[in-house]
Amino acid sequence: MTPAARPPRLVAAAPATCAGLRHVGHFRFRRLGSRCLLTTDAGEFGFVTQAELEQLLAGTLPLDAPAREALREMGLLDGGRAAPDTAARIAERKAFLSVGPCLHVLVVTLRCNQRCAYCHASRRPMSTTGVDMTTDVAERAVRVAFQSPAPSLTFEFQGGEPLANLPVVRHAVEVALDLNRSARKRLTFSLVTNLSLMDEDMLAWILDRRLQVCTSLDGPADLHDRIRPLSGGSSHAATVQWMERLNRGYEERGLDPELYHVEALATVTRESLGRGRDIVDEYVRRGLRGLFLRPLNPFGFARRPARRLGYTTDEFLAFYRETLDHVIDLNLRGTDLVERLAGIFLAKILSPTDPNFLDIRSPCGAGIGQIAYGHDGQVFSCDEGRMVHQMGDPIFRLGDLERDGYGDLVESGVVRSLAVASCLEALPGCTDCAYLPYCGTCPVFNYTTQGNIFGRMPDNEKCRLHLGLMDHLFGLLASDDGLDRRRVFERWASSRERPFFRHE
Amino acid sequence: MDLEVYPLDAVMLCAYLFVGRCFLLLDTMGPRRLVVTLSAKPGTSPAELRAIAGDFQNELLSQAVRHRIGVQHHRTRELVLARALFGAAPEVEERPDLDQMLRDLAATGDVPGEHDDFVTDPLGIAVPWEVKHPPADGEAAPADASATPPAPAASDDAGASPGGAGAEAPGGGHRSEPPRS
Repeated sequence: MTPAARPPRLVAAAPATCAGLRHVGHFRFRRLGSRCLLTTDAGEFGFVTQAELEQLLAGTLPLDAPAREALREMGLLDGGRAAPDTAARIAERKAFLSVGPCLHVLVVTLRCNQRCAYCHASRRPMSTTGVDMTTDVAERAVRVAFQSPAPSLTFEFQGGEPLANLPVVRHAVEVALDLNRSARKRLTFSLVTNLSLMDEDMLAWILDRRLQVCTSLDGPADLHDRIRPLSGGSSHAATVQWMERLNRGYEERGLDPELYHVEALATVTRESLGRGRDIVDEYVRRGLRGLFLRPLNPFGFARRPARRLGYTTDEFLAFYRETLDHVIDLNLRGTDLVERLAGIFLAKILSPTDPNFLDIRSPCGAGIGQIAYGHDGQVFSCDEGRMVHQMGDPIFRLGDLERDGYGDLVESGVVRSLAVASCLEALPGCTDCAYLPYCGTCPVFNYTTQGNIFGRMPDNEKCRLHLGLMDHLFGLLASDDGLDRRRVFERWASSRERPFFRHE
Repeated sequence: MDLEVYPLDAVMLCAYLFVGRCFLLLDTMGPRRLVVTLSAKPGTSPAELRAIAGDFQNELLSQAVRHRIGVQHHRTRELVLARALFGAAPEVEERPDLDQMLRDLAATGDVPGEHDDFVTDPLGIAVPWEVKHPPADGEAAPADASATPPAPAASDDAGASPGGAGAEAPGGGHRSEPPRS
């Protein structure tokens, strides 16, 4: 943080009782009920009462005030922390800036055998031709990805339904493994699938090649099947059957089931509201260790059914708070289940580093942290940008694998514009927000909902969502009701290595 | 409007955003005052035009605040963006190792000989200027290289950060977990 970027320090007139208090370090604050949350640029936080905040600002905080120790640890007392120390802490939190594009999303087909009511991926019926990625395009995408300076690369295969075009997934994986014999990067492969097209041969290859599998489970069968219809059967039954089969496969290989299992997310629709407990209990019943409560997004086809399935941000937050409290309660009673959205924010709040979740960081990962490759070889800043393209607007297109190399793609004006538009440190409504160190804005979301990649935060729904989520999490952290939520949250914020999925 | 309140750049950017919704004319009225006239396009009702005018006023405020915040925080933004864009940039091909090239050359036996012009230097090209033209007594010596203003330090100096260039963010930095399907 440069001196010019820092607001002037608040200089307090120090009375005799506070002789050491001459300056107060830079902080932002937000009122949460009767407490005030203070945060620093480096992401440290603490709580004070309103009276203590006023005393801090006036330089009259007594020497024996209980808040002093926490404030000193935050570097807010005694003239503030030395600039090099502050710079080192901010650099540690922003280490992701030096990584480069590490996530490479290959949309291997637009075809899908399910007709999900909220589908944002611009799916096409299974009989459609010309919407599968070819092996040539996949190979070009992999070769471009290897030009990224990132030491770790994740290839995420999605669609449509990627199992509908598994030969291309196989080809991309083999090309990547081959290239990596000389590149020596750390590779991870991730398959985002509804699992319903799976068979034993596919499964054997997925386990053999150590692909992570991520799927959707929207809740119990009645809820899941109503939102994710599958002609000729129950999509819930198919998903659950293959989840269990995959998890058994990990166990048969001697892998720790605590670490190795299928990951799933639940997209929240209006039909989910009021059924948070049912969804959580379904996850526990199926032996899942993680639940991601994902709000609907405005991209792709999801806009059309929004009236039937949609809700206000306040409705989602009410649902989320109630469901999260149930998850926390289960954890306090001995059931391990992480709510991933909370886990992302908690990792930012409770650790000195950033988990580099590409959608929630500053600047966002569009083009500088991830690249999305369409089935036809067109390249986009991110998967959300590709979805906007599917809606007929090419604004987030970076180029074409036929013509453009890695340098052309990441050095495009689109990437620079998105980076500027998502740099919270210089955005109105964000620069002075207490949650700046933990937050992120999505220019694609802003463009889709507000017509401008620069979000207008006072009426930006993503901003409202993040404020609500963090208000709730910090409220729980500040709570003194005797429940040991901090222990649960620290476990959620930590990540454990899963070397089986890593190729080196 | 008062240009003390709204910078001209912000007004023009705002006006430009509305060219698809109405006709706009910007004109001055005195040294620090500007008049923006919004006229309806065909098919726009008076009520719709009033709504456009309201949106214009809000957008004007957004642009003015963005302009102001952008100026106040431009150094921070430049630092963050420089590091982010530099971090994503393609790796520069390694420069050839000059010493190794000379060793390779020596190994081939094709090394410069005494008959090569650049070795004998008949025109004295390799003779330093100071040797050719020594300063007279009392005359200041030519400035040496160390007096040259140093190049500005790169704002994304890898050494300044514990993470360093090429360091991987903890956790691998991926979005694939949690999944999206």
